[in-house]
Amino acid sequence: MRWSPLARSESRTVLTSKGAWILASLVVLWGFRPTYAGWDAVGRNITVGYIQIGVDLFLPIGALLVSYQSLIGERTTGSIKFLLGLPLTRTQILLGKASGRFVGVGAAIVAAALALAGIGLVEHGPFGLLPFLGTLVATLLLASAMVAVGVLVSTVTRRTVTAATGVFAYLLVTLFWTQIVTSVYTAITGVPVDPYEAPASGPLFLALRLTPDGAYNVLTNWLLDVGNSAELFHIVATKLAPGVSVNAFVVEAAFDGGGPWYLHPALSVVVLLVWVGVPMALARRIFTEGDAL
Amino acid sequence: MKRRTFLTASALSVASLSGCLGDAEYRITNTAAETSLPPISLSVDLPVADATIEHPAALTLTLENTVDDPLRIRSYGVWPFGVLALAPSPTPGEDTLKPTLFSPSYETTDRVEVSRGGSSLSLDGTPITRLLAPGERVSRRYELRGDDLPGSGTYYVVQNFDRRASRYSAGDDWKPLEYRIRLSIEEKRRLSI
Repeated sequence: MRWSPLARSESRTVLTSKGAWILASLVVLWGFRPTYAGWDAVGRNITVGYIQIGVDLFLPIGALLVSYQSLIGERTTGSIKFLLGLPLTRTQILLGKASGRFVGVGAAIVAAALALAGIGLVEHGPFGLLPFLGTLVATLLLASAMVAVGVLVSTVTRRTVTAATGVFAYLLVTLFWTQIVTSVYTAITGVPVDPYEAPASGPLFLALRLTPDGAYNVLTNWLLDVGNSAELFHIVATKLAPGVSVNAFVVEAAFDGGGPWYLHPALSVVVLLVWVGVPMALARRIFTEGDAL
Repeated sequence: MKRRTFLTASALSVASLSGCLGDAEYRITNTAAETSLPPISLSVDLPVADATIEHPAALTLTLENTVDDPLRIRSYGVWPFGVLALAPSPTPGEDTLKPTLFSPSYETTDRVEVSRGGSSLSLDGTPITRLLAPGERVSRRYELRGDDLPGSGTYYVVQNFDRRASRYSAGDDWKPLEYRIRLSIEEKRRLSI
């Protein structure tokens, strides 16, 4: 592939930056959280849960921060002229940039996951290999989705400050996604949403899992076999425990019989793939048809 | 900062801080049992000292009839100790928060029901009276979950309900089964790096 040298250069840029390793450190630091609720929920697979906790918060921020400058950085320094002078099509440049950044972020996050696995192995003993490997794949899928969003932001903006604002706006929206979805749902249907007793509404639950991190949590909760929800695994287990009331949206707690088919956790793979494909397609369209400079 | 210095500092800070965001876990570092009752001897063993997320700490209380005559012991819920709790003082007030001690013996009877965390507890009001023969020993295991403890410190094993305390009798008079079990509990660090 002609764009592989560019991808290698991009991944080297990420892997030799402090940002990628700060991200990995934060994932480990934040993720390793031994809790009674977590142990009661999944036992030794709490080690896999540590990965979910760390990744859920820090991977979206970290991956966006190391990828949103992928093209805008070249523009602001003027080095994009050199890049465009290479014997590569613009699509190949975009592919090289995105895949290189993904490899860098992916390597850092895999290192963090392995560190958490090592700590968990020492602290709690062996854990399920299948949930671990599944969570690793889901984590890489989330990383690729976030890199795709970062590359899109980098493609559509002309100034670094605008790109940074875009990243911040994205993070704010995903941070308050539950509140946004429930407010919109109430405004449309007139039905107030009480997270302690959530209405059995398929569209409401579907909307809650449409963000990359929400889809990631649904998928990893499925792998951990705790329940069908975009919340963290120990919150889902607490919600489903008898006699406990928690403000969390969990399908099994709201629906009798598991809910509609489109809430099946496996479909979160599709959500994540859409988050990879659509931003990349948009970025390609903008980068190939617009003024690259 | 050089990259190697940065990576070393990061690794060390992660190692030292890891687990700090988790729940507190505890270790019972010392136990002491005293009883002022001549016909009865009470001892406490500590088969499991650590109350961690993986398992609760466990105490084994053993009661022995040290005289030549049989004793009657009357308890509520489970025999012979009843439903026990931990308290920061041997004579806690009614408003004192008392983490309930769980016992496998609760599972063998419908006379006592304790929810997780002890927030809901029901106890049958009918007393259980049994004989403790001369020289006979009876042991019961009680467990302490780390997430029920409010913090480290010195705690005493007390009856969960004062009015349902165990009593004994060598004749006609019923006397309270008075004893004092003191536990020193410290917070446990998760990673010993």
